[in-house]
Amino acid sequence: MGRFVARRIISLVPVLLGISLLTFVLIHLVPVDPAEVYLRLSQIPPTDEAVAVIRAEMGLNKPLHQQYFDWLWKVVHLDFGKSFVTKKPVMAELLYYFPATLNLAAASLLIVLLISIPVGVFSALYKDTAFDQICRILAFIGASMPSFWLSFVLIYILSLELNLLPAFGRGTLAHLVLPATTLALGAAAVYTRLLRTSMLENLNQNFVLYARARGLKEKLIVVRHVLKNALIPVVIAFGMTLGHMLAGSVIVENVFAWPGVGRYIVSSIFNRDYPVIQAYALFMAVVFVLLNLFADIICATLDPRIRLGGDK
Amino acid sequence: MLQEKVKGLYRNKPGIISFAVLAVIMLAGILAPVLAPNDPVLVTLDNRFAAPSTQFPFGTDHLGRCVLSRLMYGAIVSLGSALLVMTITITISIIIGTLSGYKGGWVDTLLMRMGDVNLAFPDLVLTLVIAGMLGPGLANIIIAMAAVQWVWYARIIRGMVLSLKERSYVLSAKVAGTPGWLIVVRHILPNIIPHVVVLVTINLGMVVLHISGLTFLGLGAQPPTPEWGAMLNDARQYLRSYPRLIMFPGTMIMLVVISFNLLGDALRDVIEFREG
Repeated sequence: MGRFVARRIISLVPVLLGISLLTFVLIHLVPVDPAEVYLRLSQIPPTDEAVAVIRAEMGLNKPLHQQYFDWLWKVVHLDFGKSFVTKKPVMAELLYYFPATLNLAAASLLIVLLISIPVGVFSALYKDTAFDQICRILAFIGASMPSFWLSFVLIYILSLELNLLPAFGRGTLAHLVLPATTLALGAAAVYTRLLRTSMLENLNQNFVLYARARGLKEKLIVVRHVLKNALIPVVIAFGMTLGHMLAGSVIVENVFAWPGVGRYIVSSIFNRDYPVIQAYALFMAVVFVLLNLFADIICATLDPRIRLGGDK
Repeated sequence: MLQEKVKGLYRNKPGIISFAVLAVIMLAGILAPVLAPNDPVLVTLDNRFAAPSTQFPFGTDHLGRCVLSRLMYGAIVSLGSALLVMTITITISIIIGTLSGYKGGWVDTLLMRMGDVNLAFPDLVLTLVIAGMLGPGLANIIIAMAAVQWVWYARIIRGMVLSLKERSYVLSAKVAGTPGWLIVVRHILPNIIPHVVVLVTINLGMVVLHISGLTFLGLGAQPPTPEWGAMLNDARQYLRSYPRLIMFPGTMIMLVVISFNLLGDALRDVIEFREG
């Protein structure tokens, strides 16, 4: 197990370097001079001298590779520079907004589990029945529905018409319901199908036949033998989904005025707050890579084939 | 062979229906200058939030613009930009993917490493960030989406080329002295294209979703351009009083996405089932 984890971590090094290179290059996509944007946002007229001073301050006049290493050195020390707008360190700002986003994503993930495990299991056990067909259609619609539209429909029905839940902001648990559900439904559709397929595969395995031959109760077979194995691909996909939810929350946060990273990044894009955009990309990628690492480790603990197969 | 496939597709009802739906929407968009009842960007404040009538079949929005006309013109913007994203993406990825799979070497190494890095970003983050750096605008979103997506397709195409490369007809063509480019054009590409078409169709729905999502955030087509995501964004403030303004563009987006998904499934059944 130790070797599996160690090798998995070592394999991350080139990926992390690649991520850093890509995010570094991003700032050079900006069609204007960042120094000029900085001055304008600070209400300073961008004269040639002023631009030259800021360029020197930002290190923009150094050779590119030098800029990269300087930047990387700072990033390793968690220094992502300062926001053009608030003049506060970007890292502190991201960490300020991140808990709200994490909160939202975690709640969505819980909803995904609550929907997809029972529905996935039952559609596999009652394959091709009316229940399975209806779930299939709902899953198909769920996966095709734009989250921003779904959120309006939910707001309209549950909040404006029935007045059951608050539509905007963050605070109580009730505030969490609508945005978390919106974020969850698309993923729940995917997971239900994934779990159904995986359950069906495992139901046809010899160990199930053997368990039946031993006269075990069907319920026990399903829970202990089939579901446990069927959940492995779901767990693998989980790390990824949580990452996608952290990122996918951009739209949902903007609809529900949820004060998370997603809303922060969109307002930063409109403010042309380039250091924030850059830091966001790096931050999200690193979180995503780490989540996948954890998912892999969990799967290796669940399934000896993964860790032993990997050691060969 | 081809005839058989066309027949197979013809028998696939969901496939045919979704193709028809997409064709109608696309045609409505192309013919919008002739068919649309009103000017899609003409602001008439006297007609704000007009209810559906003969003059405005779907009513008007907060600026008194005809919703139906905006939907029709919007079809071209939404669908057209999705098709454009795919065309750019596929062109790049076929060239790089084939080169990488057939020739190998540094192109291959570079592609694989780029893929690893690309996959390290959650969906949409990279697109959002590139679009954000370039600034709001439809063209920038198209560039950002193509720039992010091609790596994924190129890697899939590379995989296909790698397996085709070992087929006996490719090997015998090689032995016969056929130049590499001719082998690619004559033996490899024709075998890849059907699978690429399936992939593209299935993913077009997702591209439409992403474009309208980014436009909804204000990053894509800028006002007054009629685009479905932008229309939703305009309508959000009037959700309580005029929910129909949300219903029309939302339904259109969903209809298109579902149609592309169904059509993609149908194509996959027809193309890949017969070969597999």
